[in-house]
Amino acid sequence: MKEQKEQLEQLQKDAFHEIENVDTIHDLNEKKAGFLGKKSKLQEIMTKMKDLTVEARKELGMLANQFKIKVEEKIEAKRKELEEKAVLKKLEEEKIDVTLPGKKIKQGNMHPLMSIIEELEDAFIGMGYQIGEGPEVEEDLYNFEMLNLPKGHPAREMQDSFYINDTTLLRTHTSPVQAHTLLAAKGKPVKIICPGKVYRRDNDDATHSHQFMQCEGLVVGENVTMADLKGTLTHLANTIFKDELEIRFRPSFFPFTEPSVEVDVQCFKCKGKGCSLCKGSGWIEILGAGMVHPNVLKMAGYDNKKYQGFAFGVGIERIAMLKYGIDDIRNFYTDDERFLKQF
Amino acid sequence: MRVKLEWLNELVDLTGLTVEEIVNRVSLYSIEVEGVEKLVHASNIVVGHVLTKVPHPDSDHLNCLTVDVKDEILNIVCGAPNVEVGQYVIVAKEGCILDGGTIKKSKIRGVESCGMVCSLQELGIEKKFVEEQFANGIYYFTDPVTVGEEGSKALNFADDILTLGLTPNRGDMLSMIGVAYELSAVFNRPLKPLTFEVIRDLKTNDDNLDIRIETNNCSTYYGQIIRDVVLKPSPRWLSSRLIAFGVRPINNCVDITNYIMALFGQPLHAFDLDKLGKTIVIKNAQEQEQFTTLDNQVRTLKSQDIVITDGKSPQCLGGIMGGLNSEITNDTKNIMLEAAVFDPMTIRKTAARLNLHSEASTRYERNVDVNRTKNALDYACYLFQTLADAKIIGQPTLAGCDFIPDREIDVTSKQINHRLGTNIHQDEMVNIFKSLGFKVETKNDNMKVYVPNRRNDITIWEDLSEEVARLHGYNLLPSTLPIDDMKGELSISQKNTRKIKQVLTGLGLNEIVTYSLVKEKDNEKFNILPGDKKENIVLLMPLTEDHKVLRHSLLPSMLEIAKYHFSRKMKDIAFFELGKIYYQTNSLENKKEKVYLSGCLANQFTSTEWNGKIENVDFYLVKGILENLFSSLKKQPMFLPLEHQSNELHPKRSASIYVDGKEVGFIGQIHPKYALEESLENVYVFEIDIDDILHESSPIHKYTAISKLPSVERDLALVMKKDIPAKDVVECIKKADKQILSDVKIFDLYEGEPLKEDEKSLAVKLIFTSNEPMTEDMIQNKIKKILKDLQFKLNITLRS
Repeated sequence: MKEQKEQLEQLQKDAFHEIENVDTIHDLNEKKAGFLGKKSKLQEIMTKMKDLTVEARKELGMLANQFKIKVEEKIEAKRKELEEKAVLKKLEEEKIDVTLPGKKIKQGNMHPLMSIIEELEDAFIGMGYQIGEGPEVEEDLYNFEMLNLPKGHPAREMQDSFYINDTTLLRTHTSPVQAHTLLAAKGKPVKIICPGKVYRRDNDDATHSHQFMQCEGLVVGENVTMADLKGTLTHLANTIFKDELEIRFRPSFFPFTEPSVEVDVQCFKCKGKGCSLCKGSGWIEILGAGMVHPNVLKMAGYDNKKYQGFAFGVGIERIAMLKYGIDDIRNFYTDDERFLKQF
Repeated sequence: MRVKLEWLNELVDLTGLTVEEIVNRVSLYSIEVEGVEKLVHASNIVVGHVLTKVPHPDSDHLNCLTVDVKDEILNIVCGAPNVEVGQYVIVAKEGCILDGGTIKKSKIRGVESCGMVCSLQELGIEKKFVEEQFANGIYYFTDPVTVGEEGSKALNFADDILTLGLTPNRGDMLSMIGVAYELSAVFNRPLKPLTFEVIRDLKTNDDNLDIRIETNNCSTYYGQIIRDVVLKPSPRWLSSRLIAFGVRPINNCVDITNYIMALFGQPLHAFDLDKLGKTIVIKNAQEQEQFTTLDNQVRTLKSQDIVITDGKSPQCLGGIMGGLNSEITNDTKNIMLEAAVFDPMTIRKTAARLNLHSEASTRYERNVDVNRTKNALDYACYLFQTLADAKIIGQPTLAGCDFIPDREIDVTSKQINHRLGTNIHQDEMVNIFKSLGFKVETKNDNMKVYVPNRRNDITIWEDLSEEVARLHGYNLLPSTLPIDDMKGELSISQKNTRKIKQVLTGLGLNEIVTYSLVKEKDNEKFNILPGDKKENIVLLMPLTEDHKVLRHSLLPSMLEIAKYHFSRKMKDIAFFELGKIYYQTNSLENKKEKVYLSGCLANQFTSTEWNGKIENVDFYLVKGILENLFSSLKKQPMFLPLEHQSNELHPKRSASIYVDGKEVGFIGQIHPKYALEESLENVYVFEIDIDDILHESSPIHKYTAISKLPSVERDLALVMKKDIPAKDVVECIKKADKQILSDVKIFDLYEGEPLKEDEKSLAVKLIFTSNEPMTEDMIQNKIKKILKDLQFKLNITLRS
């Protein structure tokens, strides 16, 4: 009995030692078979058990069981250790250089002029405006006459136009949409902005373009005032320049508004202190506006004693150039990807 | 309008105001100030008296002068041909900075020179404004001056000149008096009346003019006989004011007429009385009549032009320019001075047709105030009398109207406040009108405003509201928002437009904007889409051939942009444009504008270059993009081989796009020949007439329940003739079972051994989905049916 006990103790020592030194799962499985399997040393010891007393057999059986549990625990611990090692090894093999460049997937951008128009649209939709549209090949009637610019009016000189024939031309401003919208609204209140392309007979250079974009605004109602115009344009300026800036009106003249004003925004670069951008004045001219001339309302069939309104027109290129510091208007129509990607 | 402040101050009291204050307030309350300048900037210039002049010993054109400048006598070497002893001249002393450099003591060919005797050009006056006698030499005073006096003061150029950017409605400010009225209101300062007396020779009773107006386009004509005129240079105060105004001084006679025009805004014309005679008939010209204007140009007149005749032949083109025949010359003794008012529109037309714009025509085009005409003529007489020693013969002869009464406009403060959104007191409004020189009668709430004829821009009460708004101060205007119940929303087409842009930018395409005006030849390209026969809309007067007609396709310009990028080594491009095309059918009355969507992609689309994974643009990539786009618009496009002839598209790699059974666009590779001509490679384009689709709202789509059971997939390798389109195969399969076959995917295309030369193999994946359990038998039956249909309809067999 004593002999077997010692044998078991020795066997456990050997097992622990050998298991500890195993390197692979495969070897570990072999060891398991070697120590605990049908042809293991344990089995050898156990076969000799039949010669012992009942008590001794009982004791030895218990010891053998304990041996089995301990060795199995040891094997499982080792197995876990080896598996973890294997995972670590695999991970190491799978290592990549995360600093290599990523896949180049094309990212499209909206044209900067269109982005500004969308920004304006969103701001004005929020204030209850609809987005108006109109033709670009326009009748003299809508482009000039219905805007209180009769034939021979001195203000027509201000706009050298692309005529198609005596009465048809490429619209010189988005204002004819005013006339169309008013006619369609048949004497009812109107609240629109109309962005779009316009054309003037100018040679293209850094500051002139024969084609450019404008956004017109028109609000007509019973109680629409010039103070409302000021509030609306303040909102417009702050939408564009994403800041709390003041605006100011200066007297001006447009045949389709009375009173007419030029609108300056506080210089967004220096906040009105005076810098190179605003040429020291602290203000930057951004648009023209005014109260709709009663003749415009009358010609569109409105009762100008009951209705009044305001209108404004802003040059999108000018806004974009100011906002992004662009110095050449031709950039917008050259469509260089390196330019387009910046917005 | 250029306004000399020294002169203005003579008409309205501006004492105590700085130039800065004037500029700021005028800009905010009246009109844009485009510029402020002094005509002479130089300091350290003084009036000198030339004491001696000896020729330079070492030069044949230089002279050595001694010049008294009060504190000292300077030795100056001078090269001007017109310098003489006794002249009072402008001396630039040592340290004076001129445009040409700084004056230093120096030796000129061995003789010391301590300063410079200046010409007006050297002082900064533009040559076109310099009087002829000083144009090629130094300036010398013809009026008495004080030696040592500051030079710019003596020249009357020490003050500032404002350039006002007059708007077309403010013709009243094209005169110094008009500006004075305006500034009187802006600063609430009193006007200073002109005081003068004309001494008239009333002895000769028979020295009368016979003036007849025989046209509707001349409302007023005054003629004044002035005799014994002595022609000479104008005094400094007058010539300096003319230069500041922007007119070159000539002689006292011409200068007086220009001076009156600048002061009153009333153009005058002086005829040589002895050439003209005493009969004056104002009438319309005869058609094709020839007339030589005083610039020695023969003009062909039209019946709409106004001519001043001596009863027989034209002597002057009314309101535009005088004639050579009755021009003032150095021999002129007696003159007939005209002060007239012509119809603005007539003058505009004549000036525009003859391209003959003058200070006079500018004023006539913007209305001349007849109420000021007589006064202007009288003041001119006064100047002739004082500056030309002339005799003013009797009273002027008048034909036509001499006075237009004030316009009466009724308005209430409530009306104005309602328009402006303000709460301005009636008293303040009355004060504003009075400051403008308008009479006002108030009766309870009503203000009756008498607007004088000079302010022809004010005809309705809304015009008066502007006067109140600006002179009250726009800075005091409250800032509010309109109160209403209007709702803001994008239209369906605007929403769809945004969706298209979002999808395409999201898929990697850059939006571009190109010009609507293109070359005539561009409209012959990509003429592929069916529909109206597009005719060009052509500009009457194009600026260049490059921008002559409105485009029929967005692609020619887009390919120009592509070329721009290719030539800069940026060959991986992906662009789209959503914009209008324009055309007419038969006539301009049938003109159309349609929104097209076009795109252009080339070369690399995605890449991880360092491991060689590169996806190049090909037909299927572009098609995939469009399928995505249409799917987002809830449309199912169909792509069929392009059947139209095109020089721009690859005939075998292009397709027509059908939506809802209608051909709406095309997609394809650029024709290799065209690509070569344009130096483009691997470029794919598409163009879609998206106009109708933009206006369609997508219907609300009812939900389909998702099967809880897994779907079953089966792969088939099919062999068929090469020319069978994949679309037909898929359609045939789909038709074979409409119960559990939920999708068909093509996952391989093979051509080559062991297949026959005219054969190909397509591998398709069939996906079966059902809410009921599917048995293998069921699926095998379906596949049998599919194979049978394929065999029967398309002669397709299973690959063995």
